[in-house]
Amino acid sequence: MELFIDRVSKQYQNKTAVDRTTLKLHKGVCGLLGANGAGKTTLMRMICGILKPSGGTISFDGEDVSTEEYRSVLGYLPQDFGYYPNFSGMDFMMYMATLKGLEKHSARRKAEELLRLVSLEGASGKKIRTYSGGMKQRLGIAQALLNDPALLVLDEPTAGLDPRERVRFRNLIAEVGKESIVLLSTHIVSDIEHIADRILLMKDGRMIYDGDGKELEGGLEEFYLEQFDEAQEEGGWKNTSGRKGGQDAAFFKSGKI
Amino acid sequence: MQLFLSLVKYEFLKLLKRRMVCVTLAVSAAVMVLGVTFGGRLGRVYVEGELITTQADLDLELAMNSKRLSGRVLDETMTEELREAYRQAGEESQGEIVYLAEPYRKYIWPLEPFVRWVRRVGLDVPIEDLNEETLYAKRLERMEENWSDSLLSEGEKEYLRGQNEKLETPFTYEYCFGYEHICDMMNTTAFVLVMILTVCLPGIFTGEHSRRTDQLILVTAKGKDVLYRAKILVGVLFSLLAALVQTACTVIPSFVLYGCSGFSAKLQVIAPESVWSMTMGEALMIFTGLLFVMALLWGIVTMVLSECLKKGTAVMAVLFGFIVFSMLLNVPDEYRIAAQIWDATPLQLISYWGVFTNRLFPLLGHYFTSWQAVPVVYLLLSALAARAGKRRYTGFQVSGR
Repeated sequence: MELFIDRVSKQYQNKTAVDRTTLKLHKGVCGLLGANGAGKTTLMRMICGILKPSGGTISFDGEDVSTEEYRSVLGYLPQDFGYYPNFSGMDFMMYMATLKGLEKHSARRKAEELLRLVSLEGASGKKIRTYSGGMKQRLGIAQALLNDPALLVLDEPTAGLDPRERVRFRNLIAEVGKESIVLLSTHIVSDIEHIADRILLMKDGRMIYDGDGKELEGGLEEFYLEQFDEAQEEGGWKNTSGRKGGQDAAFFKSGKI
Repeated sequence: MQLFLSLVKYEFLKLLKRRMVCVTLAVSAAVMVLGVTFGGRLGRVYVEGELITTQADLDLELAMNSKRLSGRVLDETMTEELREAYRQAGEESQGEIVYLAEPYRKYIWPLEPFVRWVRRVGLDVPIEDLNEETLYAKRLERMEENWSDSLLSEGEKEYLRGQNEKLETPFTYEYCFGYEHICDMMNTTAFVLVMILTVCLPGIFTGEHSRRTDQLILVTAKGKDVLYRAKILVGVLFSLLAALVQTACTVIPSFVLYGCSGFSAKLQVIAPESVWSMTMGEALMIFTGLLFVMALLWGIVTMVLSECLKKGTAVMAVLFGFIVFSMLLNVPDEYRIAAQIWDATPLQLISYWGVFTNRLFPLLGHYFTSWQAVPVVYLLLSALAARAGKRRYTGFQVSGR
């Protein structure tokens, strides 16, 4: 089981979002760290086949990212996504299961099992428009797992989850990572430091660190914050993403949530 | 297959659960029923400042007269009867015969359906010179004039003359108010239908982008090819269903008002200059068939456009712009090809002048009529549009969010 990202780049008009990135990912949880605008979401979209790279190729066990076979082993939770407000949670899960090619009976069984896993079994018949942000996020996580994906891509999955849910989610991902490749992006170190077998750190479209984080003096968070401060001093945050870097920095330093 | 049908079911649910779709369907059906029932039948009729009846009663009387005359041959006997009626009315009014004044109502009104038929032929001779020969000669003369005005080729004219020779003359008048009313309303039906499709269908594709669910569905195994086909099928089924509902909203009130007799009446009863040998029932079936094919094309183009523009309001702006343009533009006959193409566009097609036009489509030594050629072109265009839309849909890139 191997995801091969071969010299992948994404160039926009005057910005390189991802710069010649090469990676080989295998079974286990891989955490992708990086501040806003570092290129995490762009890379993940390319891995999921919804954004075409400017250069390079992506394949899973030899299957190109553009094929149905590739998509059939893929589970994806985007960073910012919507729902069908008039669907119930169960309708949504069944619809997504159909899209993933699951047969009706196994789809229902799997949907019920996952809704239970994310503690939404009691709300499965309710319209999604009545769900809170956290419930929607949990529903998103559940749909990503419907097809027992061999490749699970999670873009900032813990946003909107409360501390208890966050812990449950980490355990769930660690479990999935035993059988699958899990690529999990975040800008919160604590989300991945205990469950990730491998950590990638992205900055300005490039991978600046690839390892298990154990060899880092002062720990992963210290290293990450150093990189973050450097970037902030260079004024990179505002220039690259347009977001308020100061707020983000305060958020990181204030704790791990 | 079961999976595909499941997706079709979910896509239908997504479409029908939108409030705007339900409201649009209900309002348009109500507007159509009310329009067909009361349009042109409201108001009162005044003659020389004096109220004589209501429009609805006058309409009813005309229908009664038409029923009474049903089965009569439009021949010398009929023209003689009409001459006599005018003579008597003229004597009683002692001067100009005023339309719907007492002498007119007494002598001519019972023959009003004949009078209207003669007027449609375009006869401009004095009433005392009216006879079967002048009537049918005038019909032929008008037909030839129209063909020349439409810049028809000699081959086309020859073909049309051949068609005309197949017709049995003199024609037999038959009551067919129900069918006539439906055919008259079909252009309005088409307008309402395209408005429904323009409002309801863009959401099938734009909804995924505006809700940002596109990134969820496009990464799934069946989220590209299979889902695209399911969405297109749902749009097509919805278009056909809307066409069926709108047709029913036109046909049922018309038959309730005027009855459904007249299926076997010849088309020449309402369109004397037509050379096509068909009954009113067949004409209605052609209209309905074309309405369905038009709905299919409009539906697919709307969906493809919505995938290209990504915003429902932009799609509506473009298509409503085209609808308004359709209402305003009339391409003169002297621009033969442009006029023929324009008359074959969706909103022009569903009308007498669009369907039963004398302009023909030559192909491999044969001539094809509008109702034979245009549906084939529409089906081809629909297939091409659907294919182009698929490229657009499957190649969509999620960026800039």
